[in-house]
Amino acid sequence: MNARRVFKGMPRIANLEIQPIIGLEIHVQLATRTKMFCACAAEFGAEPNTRACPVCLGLPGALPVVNAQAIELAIRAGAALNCSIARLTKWDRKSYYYPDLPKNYQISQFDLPIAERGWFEFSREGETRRVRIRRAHLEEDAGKNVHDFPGFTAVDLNRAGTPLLEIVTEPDIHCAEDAREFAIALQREIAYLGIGEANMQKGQMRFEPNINLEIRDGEQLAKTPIVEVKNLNSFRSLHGAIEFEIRRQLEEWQERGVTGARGNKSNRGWDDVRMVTVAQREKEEADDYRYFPDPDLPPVTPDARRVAEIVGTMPEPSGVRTARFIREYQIPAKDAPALVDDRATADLLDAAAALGVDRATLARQFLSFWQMQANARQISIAGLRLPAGVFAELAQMSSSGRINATAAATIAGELVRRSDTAAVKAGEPLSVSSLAAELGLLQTRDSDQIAGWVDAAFAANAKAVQDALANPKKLIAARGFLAGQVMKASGGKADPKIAGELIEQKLRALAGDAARS
Amino acid sequence: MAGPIDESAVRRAAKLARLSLSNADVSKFAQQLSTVISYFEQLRQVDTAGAEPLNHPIEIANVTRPDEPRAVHCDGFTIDAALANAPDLHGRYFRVPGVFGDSGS
Ligand SMILES: [Zn+2]
Repeated sequence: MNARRVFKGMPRIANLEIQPIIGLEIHVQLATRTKMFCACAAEFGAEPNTRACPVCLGLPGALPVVNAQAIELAIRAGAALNCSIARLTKWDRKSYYYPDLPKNYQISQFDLPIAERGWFEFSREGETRRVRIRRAHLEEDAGKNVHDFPGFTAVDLNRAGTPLLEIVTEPDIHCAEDAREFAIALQREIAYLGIGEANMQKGQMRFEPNINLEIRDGEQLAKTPIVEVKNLNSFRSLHGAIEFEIRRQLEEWQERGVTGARGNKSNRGWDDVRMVTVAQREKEEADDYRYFPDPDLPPVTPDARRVAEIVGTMPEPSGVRTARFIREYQIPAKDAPALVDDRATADLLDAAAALGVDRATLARQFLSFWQMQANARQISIAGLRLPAGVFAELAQMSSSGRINATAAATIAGELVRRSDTAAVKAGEPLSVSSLAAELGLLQTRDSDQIAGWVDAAFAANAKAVQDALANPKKLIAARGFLAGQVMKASGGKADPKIAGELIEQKLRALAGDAARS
Repeated sequence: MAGPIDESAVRRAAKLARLSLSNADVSKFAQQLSTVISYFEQLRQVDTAGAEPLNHPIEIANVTRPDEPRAVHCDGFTIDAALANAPDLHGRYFRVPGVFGDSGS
């Protein structure tokens, strides 16, 4: 068949019900400083073979020791995936030969994974969908084979031993779009919780979908053989590979009638340029991994109190928080990630809002001048290190009309500047209202004072006032002009609402006088 | 007499372990491994109902280390010495016969 064929929409075949069955295996690199079983730095971009020790090299007698932080992060991931955390988890050797695996086995977890039986939700088209999680286990990454050379392969073991969490879902996904949305939501949550950086470009998260079709023809049910597509490192390729496989399997079934039986599962690779899956040469006996317990590594029994603490202090999932922010803070959906994705900033917004200010004003200020202040320093809003009370007070002053929008932005800039001063660092509190007063930015609501500015504006522009009264078409423009003059005379301090009312009253009074005379 | 491990099982195990065995080895190991496996048949007769599975030969657990990088954590070891002992190198890479495709995990 022509692999380049572009499929558009599911082929419609009379009387056939076609249900794709999709499960995902996801490898997530954990955000540790060191490797899973040795103290080598887990970092990339270093010169080849500079981050490797006897454990990484698989030298005889080298003893692997578990990284405590990897256990902590795996428990956090298990909690985020609503899994049960194992009371006892152990390590197993998965044997295979490849140059990037010097020990000839990978340390993994076979029958007692650290987490199992959970679920994870994502939303699509405003609807929440749940995918069950079968298990999540810890393992080590392999090194890197470089094939850029003619006739030989070069091996760099810097990556060997990097901690990975492999998450396996139940086959609860039924289309490529759902797989992609699930993957996006999971990636976001992993990064959000600091479990892993989950940077797709750096290969810190990789997907392997298992795909087959259930084809129902009246009473008859056929299943196509399961295909696992290996090592997908973008949402686009995940989506593309599933789309392609669904059509390819349907065609193969129609042409050859191949149906699934035990043992005829196969692996395929993904060609990102041609957007097709390609059959992989099967490694002989590749699936005979001969798992057995690793005698070098004693089991781990996660402390029940620590597990309860982690589960009990799990933050609101990023997807749920996004929906809540859009609702509570009245922000456009497209702006939500800017407030949610940095968890410290999202926490700060919630903390400031809890002090009882107008949420919409607060969120607007976060998205406008606070974001600008943070961007200018290449940090997050939380990174500005101002207390929640400062954000709340500024929003409060703005929504109550004590300062105008321009003044609020000016004050924000000044607050950030002053937060660096010695006095503030020594603990002197930042008061937004006294700063506003000091900068002369407080609006006055004193009607007598504003009336004085209004009278002055009318006196200075008597001709314009006369024209407006004579010609109602000019009245609207005159109102705006007079308001501008009042703001100018007051140095921006006049409360615009009160000024507007006073101008209106005065115009009406003058119009009345004119009518009477 | 053919034991639980026949010659084809030995050949398969040898292939997985990248061992090349002579025909004489194969028949010798088939007998020896069958004997070894038969010991497990004996063990299987023990009543283990109610016994906790033994997950590790030594009864210890939770041997962990803090997540702190250390460059040298083995006396006398240097990565450069390890590289110097490799059969073949390409710059700082280990050089091996050509293989195609990445194994993944
Ligand atoms: Zn190491």
